[in-house]
Amino acid sequence: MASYALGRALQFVPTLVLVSIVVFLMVRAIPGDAAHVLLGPTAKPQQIAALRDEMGLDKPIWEQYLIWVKGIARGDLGRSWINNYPVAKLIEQKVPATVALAIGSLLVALGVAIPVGIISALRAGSWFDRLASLYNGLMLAIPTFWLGVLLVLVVSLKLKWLPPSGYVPISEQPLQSAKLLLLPSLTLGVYLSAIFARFLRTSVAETLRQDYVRTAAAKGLSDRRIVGAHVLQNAMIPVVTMFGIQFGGLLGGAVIVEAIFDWPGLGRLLVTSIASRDYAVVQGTILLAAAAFLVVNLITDLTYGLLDPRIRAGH
Amino acid sequence: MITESQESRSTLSSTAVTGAPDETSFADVRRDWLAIARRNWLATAALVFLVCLGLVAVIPSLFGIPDPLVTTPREAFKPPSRQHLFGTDDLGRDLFSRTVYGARVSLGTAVAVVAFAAAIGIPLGLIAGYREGLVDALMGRLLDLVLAFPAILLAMGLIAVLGQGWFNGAVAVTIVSIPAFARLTRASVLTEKKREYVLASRTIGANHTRLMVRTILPNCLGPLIVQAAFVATWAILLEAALSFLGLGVKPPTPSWGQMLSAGKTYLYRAWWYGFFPGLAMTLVVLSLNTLGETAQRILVRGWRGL
Repeated sequence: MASYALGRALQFVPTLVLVSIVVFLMVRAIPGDAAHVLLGPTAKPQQIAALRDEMGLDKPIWEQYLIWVKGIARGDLGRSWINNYPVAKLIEQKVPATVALAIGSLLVALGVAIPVGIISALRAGSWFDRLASLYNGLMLAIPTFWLGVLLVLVVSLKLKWLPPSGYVPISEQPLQSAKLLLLPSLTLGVYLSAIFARFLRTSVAETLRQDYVRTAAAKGLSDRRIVGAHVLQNAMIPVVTMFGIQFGGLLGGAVIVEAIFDWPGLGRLLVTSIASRDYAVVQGTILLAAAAFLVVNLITDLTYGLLDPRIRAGH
Repeated sequence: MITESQESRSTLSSTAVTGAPDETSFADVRRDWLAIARRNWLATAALVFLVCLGLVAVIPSLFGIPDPLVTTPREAFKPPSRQHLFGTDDLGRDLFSRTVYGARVSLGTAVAVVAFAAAIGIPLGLIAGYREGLVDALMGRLLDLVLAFPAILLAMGLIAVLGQGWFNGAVAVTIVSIPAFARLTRASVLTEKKREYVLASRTIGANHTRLMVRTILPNCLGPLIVQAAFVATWAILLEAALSFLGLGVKPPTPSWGQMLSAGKTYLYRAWWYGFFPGLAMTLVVLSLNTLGETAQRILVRGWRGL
């Protein structure tokens, strides 16, 4: 296990470095130099020269990169080009809303996918299975942004059950906060639920065909025991990897859902900073998202190793 | 939906056929095409729908579709009626014709992205799989780098650098789609090149280029065609998402994502504004997915198994 974990972790570091280089170069690649963009077309050459000096733009590019990375290591992501506010602080303020949305969506996704996936695998070919497959196909095809708008239209405007948009921190008004979280989580969650349900169905069906399941049946164990003790435990292992892969989808989906529901998270921050050409914030947000994606994938791979002894042993 | 991205980018390579595929061609079943079409009515309907939409989108004037840019402020926010099938928008523009013209952006993006991502990804995968070693390792790193970012975030970052607009959006979507083709090609090449027909070809003196392009590549095309359908789907969704966020097609050019975004603003006044573009997009995505799955079945079971 130790060597597997070490190998996987060693893979992670160069990828993270490469990602940081790409994110760093991204801002260097914008047309015109950063000092020009920041000061606007009316700036005097001396002002531009002074700012270039201050930002270190005259130094060799690798040195600029090293300074930038050192800053990140200290938790310094630079300052906003628009209001000079520290980027790390800006991001920190937006993280809770996105995390709440992510947790809500996962609860919806798993709450639907686990029963649907398992039952449709156990009763393959039944009407439930066919209905589930219809649900999955439909949920995979409906664009999130359309589903979100439809939900607002029906649930908020026609039925008036839930508020259409807005965000309240859970620490302030727990009930209102949960109400506001429901529609965004549903919008993002049902798509993930279709992916997980499909995947879980295949995984359970495959496990059902294994020899040890037949052995368990031959020993005379009850169906309930077989499914609970033998099938599910093994069928859940690949689902863990699926989660790692889909975490990127969760982050990407959050960008869209946040735009639909005026949700003040990282996605909104990214969209507004692209619109206002606040490249320091764009850089910081994308770097953070990519790093989180890589870390979650590392963790899921390691968990996978813990769950499946075959991988631990390196087969 | 947009998060299809992660799945299609990293796990679709596993949809490559395993085991011996059925080799029956369409010619073998040509006489029974009507029965096959009837048995697979859903796929047939999907194909007919896409072909019709494509035709209307390419030459809308032929079908008497009115100009999508003509504004008639008096006619603003009219609900669907016989005169305006899908209603009108905030400027009194006909939403039916805007939805039809919006198909140009979506289908155009799908075709362009699939063509360019395949044109770049397939050769990359072909060389990586054929050469292996250092070239393969370098290529793998490069693709991993693209996959290290959640797709839409990378596309947004690229747009931040390149600037907003349809072309730059399509470039961004193409870049994030390349791994889907490259990885699948590489995986197929690795299997195919060990087969005997490749050895036979080499024995009679075929050079590397000929082996790669004429001998191996044609035998890898099946899974790639299936992949193309899924890449098309997610290109449409990703483009629409970018337009929805205001980073893609610029107004007044009609695009589904941007119409949905505007429809969201006027949700209280006009439910039909965003409803029909969203419905159109869902139908296109459903059709493409159905065709992709059917192509996959043909690949595994052959035309006769359809």
